Amino acid sequence: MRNIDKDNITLEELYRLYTKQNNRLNIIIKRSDKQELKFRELNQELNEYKNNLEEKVKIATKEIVELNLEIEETQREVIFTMGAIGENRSKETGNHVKRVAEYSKLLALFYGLDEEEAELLRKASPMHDIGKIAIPDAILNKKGQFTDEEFELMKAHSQIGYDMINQSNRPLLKTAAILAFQHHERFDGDGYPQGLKGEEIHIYGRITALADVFDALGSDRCYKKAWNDNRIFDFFKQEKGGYFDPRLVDIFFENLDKFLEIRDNMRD
Amino acid sequence: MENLLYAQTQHTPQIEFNEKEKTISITGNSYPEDSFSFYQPIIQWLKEFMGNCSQNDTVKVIIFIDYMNSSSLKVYFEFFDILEEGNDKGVKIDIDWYYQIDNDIAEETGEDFALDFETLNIKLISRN
Repeated sequence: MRNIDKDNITLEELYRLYTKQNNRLNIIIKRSDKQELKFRELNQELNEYKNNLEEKVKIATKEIVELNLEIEETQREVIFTMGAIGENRSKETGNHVKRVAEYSKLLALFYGLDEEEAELLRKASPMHDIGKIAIPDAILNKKGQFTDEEFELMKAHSQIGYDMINQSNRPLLKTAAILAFQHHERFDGDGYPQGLKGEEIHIYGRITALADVFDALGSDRCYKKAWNDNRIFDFFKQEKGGYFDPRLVDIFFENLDKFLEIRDNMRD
Repeated sequence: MENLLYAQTQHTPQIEFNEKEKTISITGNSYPEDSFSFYQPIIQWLKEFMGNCSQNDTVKVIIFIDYMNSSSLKVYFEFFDILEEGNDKGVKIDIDWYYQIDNDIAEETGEDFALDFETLNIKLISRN
């Protein structure tokens, strides 16, 4: 505002200045209101966007979780189904593979493998006999002793299973390939197909061998009746360091109640 | 008289007043916490500068403010009052009021100034 002579100002001049200042004040207020409105609109837009985003992320996350579950479930089913092909043809029950899987995980944990690896072993375990799909029914379900020729054919399921699965680079299938290949190796080197000895046999193979035999001995098979527990335990003690890794045999007896609990919970 | 230079901040515009060149430029945003304190030395400089200007001088004023708060707007009325006084005493003053093309509030503010200071030469220029 211009400098004014306060003593000699006329009423008209005062009124003119008042009007001018009032006018400016109105301009400021009007513009301030406009800005406030704009801010409110922007804020509302932002909030809507934010809420929308949260909702969208929530829905997308839920979908991903469901898809993941679906994938995991499918994977489990495929693995069990694959395993069951071999098992069914040899008239073994579906629960055999599930029990062996549980025993294997337990052995792995007690042996000192971490949870992730033990779980991998559990998931891969049902595929250890997958190579049996290439073995003729007549041999698989034969009552009584194999001829040498038949036994050689039967033994081929390890190599066949390995060749089938080892093509994959997935950790799960890599693990399954080891199991398929080595679950008939013996700690003393008298097993097949490679005749590996002691810790030359992968820990997965040693674990599966024990778990598989423990369950097989306790079940009826086309070639034998189920053994009672004492006979099984005597066999395990006798085969400590022979068929089985002695450390695993110790683990087995130290935690026997837990293994029997699995067997009781998953009876055929 | 020293030139006046303020670097731009988030809340305050860049200010470049050059006494010799007789150019005055203000660009940026203006919403300082205390506009009156912030602009006090700037207004002071302008008063002194305008007092030193004579009839044949031409002063170029460039203002490009995206957003100003209400108290800044009040200060700019005072700013234009000083320019108007200079204009009244015969200094030639060219004012370019810039605004972003989609910023209607900045455009209307320029129009309000042009209306209120009808003797001043205020040119409104839009920018993309």
